[in-house]
Amino acid sequence: MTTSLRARAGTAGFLLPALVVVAVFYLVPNLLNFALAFTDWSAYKDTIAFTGLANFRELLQEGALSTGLRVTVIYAVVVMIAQNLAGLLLAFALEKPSRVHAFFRAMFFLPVLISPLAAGYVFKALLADDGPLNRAAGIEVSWLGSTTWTIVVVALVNAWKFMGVNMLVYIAGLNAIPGELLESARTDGASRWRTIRSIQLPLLAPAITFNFVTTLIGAFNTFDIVFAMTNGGPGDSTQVLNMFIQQQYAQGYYGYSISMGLLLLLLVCAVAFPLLLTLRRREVDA
Amino acid sequence: MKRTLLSLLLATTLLASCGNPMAKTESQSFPQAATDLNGVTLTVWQSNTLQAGYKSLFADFEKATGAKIRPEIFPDPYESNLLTKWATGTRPDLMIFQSTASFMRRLDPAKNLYDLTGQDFVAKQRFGLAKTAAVLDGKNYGLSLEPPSVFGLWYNKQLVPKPPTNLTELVSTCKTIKRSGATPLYDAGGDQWTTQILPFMLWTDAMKAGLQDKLNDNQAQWTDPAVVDALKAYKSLVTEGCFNSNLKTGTYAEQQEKFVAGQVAMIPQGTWISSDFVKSVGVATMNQNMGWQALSTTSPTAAYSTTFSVQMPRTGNAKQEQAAAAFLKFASGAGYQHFVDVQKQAPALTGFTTPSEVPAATQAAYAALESDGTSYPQLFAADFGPFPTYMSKLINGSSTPEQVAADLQAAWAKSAKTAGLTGF
Amino acid sequence: MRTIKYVALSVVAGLVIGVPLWMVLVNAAKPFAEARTPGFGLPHDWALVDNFRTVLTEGRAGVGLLNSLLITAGSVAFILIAGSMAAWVFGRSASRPVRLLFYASIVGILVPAPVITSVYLDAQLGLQGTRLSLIGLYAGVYLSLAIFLITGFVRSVPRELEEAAQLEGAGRLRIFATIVFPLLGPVLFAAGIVLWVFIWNDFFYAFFLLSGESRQTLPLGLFAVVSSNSHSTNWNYVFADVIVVSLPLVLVFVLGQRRILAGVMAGGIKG
Repeated sequence: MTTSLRARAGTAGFLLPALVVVAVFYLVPNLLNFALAFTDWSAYKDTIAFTGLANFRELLQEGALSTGLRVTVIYAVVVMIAQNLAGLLLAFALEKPSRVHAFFRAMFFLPVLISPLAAGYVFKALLADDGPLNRAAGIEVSWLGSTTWTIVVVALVNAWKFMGVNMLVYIAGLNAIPGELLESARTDGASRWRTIRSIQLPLLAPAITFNFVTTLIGAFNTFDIVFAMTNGGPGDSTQVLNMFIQQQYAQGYYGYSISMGLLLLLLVCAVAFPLLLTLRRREVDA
Repeated sequence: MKRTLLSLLLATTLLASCGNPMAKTESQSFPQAATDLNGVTLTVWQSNTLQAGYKSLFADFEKATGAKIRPEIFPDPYESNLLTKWATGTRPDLMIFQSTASFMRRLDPAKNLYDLTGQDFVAKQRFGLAKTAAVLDGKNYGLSLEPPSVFGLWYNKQLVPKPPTNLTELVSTCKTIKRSGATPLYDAGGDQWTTQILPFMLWTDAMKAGLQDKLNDNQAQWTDPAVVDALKAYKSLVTEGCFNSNLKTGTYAEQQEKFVAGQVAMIPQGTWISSDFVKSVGVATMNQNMGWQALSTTSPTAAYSTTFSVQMPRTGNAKQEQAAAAFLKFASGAGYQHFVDVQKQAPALTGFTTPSEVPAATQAAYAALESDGTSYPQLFAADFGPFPTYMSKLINGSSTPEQVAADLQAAWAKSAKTAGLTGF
Repeated sequence: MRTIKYVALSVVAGLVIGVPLWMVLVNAAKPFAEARTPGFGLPHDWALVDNFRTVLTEGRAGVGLLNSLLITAGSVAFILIAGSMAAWVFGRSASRPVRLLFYASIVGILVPAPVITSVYLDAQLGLQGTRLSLIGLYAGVYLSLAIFLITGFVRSVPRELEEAAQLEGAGRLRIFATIVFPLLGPVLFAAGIVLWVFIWNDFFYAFFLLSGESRQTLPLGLFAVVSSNSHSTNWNYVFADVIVVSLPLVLVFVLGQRRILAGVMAGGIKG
């Protein structure tokens, strides 16, 4: 009896530091979202009052919700496709361990180490109207001045910055495929493309799951790159949800920006969990 | 698990039922200016657009008193960057920003800043600054070292022999200049903020005729025809091809370069640009080549707005506050003439002399301020949102003038309501 | 065939990685006027040292480096130690409440930390604007990833050693400190690298939570340098600062490249 009690106390002691910090600094702020999103907390007043759905009505009326959602979803989808495509192509090219491959892997991993804010500034300079790219190539493309395409350009920079992670995960996935399988495919006379399609890609499913989910969530929560490259412009065409949240917060509308934060939270949950489940299920089927 | 969740929820509710954690109440009377400042370091938050005068003023103050000044520069958009920091509870000893009413209101000055109303330097302010700069609810929270910013048309005297004085003339001048091959107007859609200025200028007639007061009392809305017309006029100047071809991505730096180089005939700008021109081409060339003209939709009326003023937050540290008070005294007294000379600006306080290097064009702008009826201050009680973003949408064709006006009204109503203005 | 592949890879790497890198390097070495519109050409006058000096003094890169080190090392150390302790329990216990606690503590992998309510919480706790508040936020969010990775690893470690020590009468703390923790080396290395990169490079949370120049991290310093001139960006300083911000990680990476890539791969595939 005493030993079991002591064992339990011991267990609690080991869990406590982590659980307390997660509860206080992560779970509480998340739950606060559900309370403060329905208040008029602002820089203008001393008191905080519940205002029901007023913030959400405002989000709808102002059009911020539809703009923010549209921009964020476009951004996330482009990032998800581009970053995984780049990662996958690089992984197939650099799959086998060798000195040369190690060098190229390191090269393509380099952007991962650079702060996203710095990456944003670098591309802002590179892609300026009178910037080095346009001048060197002798073209006049307004990379950062289009209300339609700039969001795609920014998303591609995000993919550039993080494709190294996806590449590594895919390489690890490829290396985990048993050699005999590939060997037998080769003796059966299967083409390279066929091997990729019917053996390697299906067996990459866990890596694909991991990469799709993490990339998508990362893209929903983007801020630094957009902030550095366009600050939301031209117009509000690259104003992702976190940009909006920062701008409203900065104007002193705290409760209002939290209501958008709550929607971002729900969006991430709504997309991430089902995606995780479907991809996991497919993984089992495959 | 259930119990953990429950106690978390409980803790959350408890937290949420506390008061606003970012509100602080203090009431201290204005501190005595200190005399011995050795070893004191004053932190100054400032906009990134301050000109050379401030730097030399800081140096003079350091030399005269032994104090150190540590400027902390806030990048554009400084309002949102500053308020993000302000909300963390940090307070500088002094701050120098453009002090519009809506900006001041967000600082909640009655609690956070010292009321300077009774100070003798406020009584010495020229250009009506005592009533328009850093003023909220009748109290004055700032010392203005610069005259207000006057918005008008800077024009190249060679390309524009007779400057337009209203919208109709502006349109026809634009056509004449286009035929000559120069770019009539330049605006910097890439930097966005410059695109507000022409609308400011164009709606001034209507504001002066009573629209501004009505807006402030919620008797009128930003969707008023006068506002929509000003935006439509901008849009039609764009469609007429009056602006630079890279309007969407042009920059403030390029606006100056092209204007100085004589490739651009006119730029709608504030008087702050004067010192940049002095630096790049000198007063003599400016007087030879550049003119300044007040312009609104129907009359030559200049819009103006208060510019930077020095504000003094309550920090709760008596020694620091006494040093900050000493700075205000120095800046408005012994150190001011040198500041004005370096700025090459008209003094904003009585009892000082205008340096000889103020260009004729800039003097014309200040003359518009001082003679009756040729100017009107922008004094909006609330905020009308990210107007540069709305303008960017207008320029890029993703918003119509009507939509921009509706956006302005929505932001205005939200700001006024949140601030608890009467009538909203 | 292989040659074609290597040529293609070199061209792609040159364009995608080399071009931006080159632009940063040459323009960080130019004086202000030359770097006003950044280009690919070599500087006429070299100002690399001047630019670095300005970034270090006016951009306060030294303070930034110190704060970045303090905050990143503090967060990562806490996350790895507290995370290992919790993961040991999670990996060894099959009881339902413990499993539920496990799920509760790994939600953070998917659901990010809400930034503005964190500011609110910190104000209530009296931590507003402090480095501690930022360490708390990083630990709160990233413990999830650490616990998830380490728990998976713990499950693959045989129990025999622990049981033997228990029979000899060793206490739990001693078993953890002398037997379990050392065994976790590989996964701690992998998780540590990933967390270090996340936290070192973070701008968003630091922007909201930290106040005052004396507390600014390297990315906040970069933001200040970019913004210090309204008329035109001082690209020479910006790029010099980009180098300062990135160099510590890049150097470490170049030195430990093989182990780092292997570690990240090992960590990733478990996900």
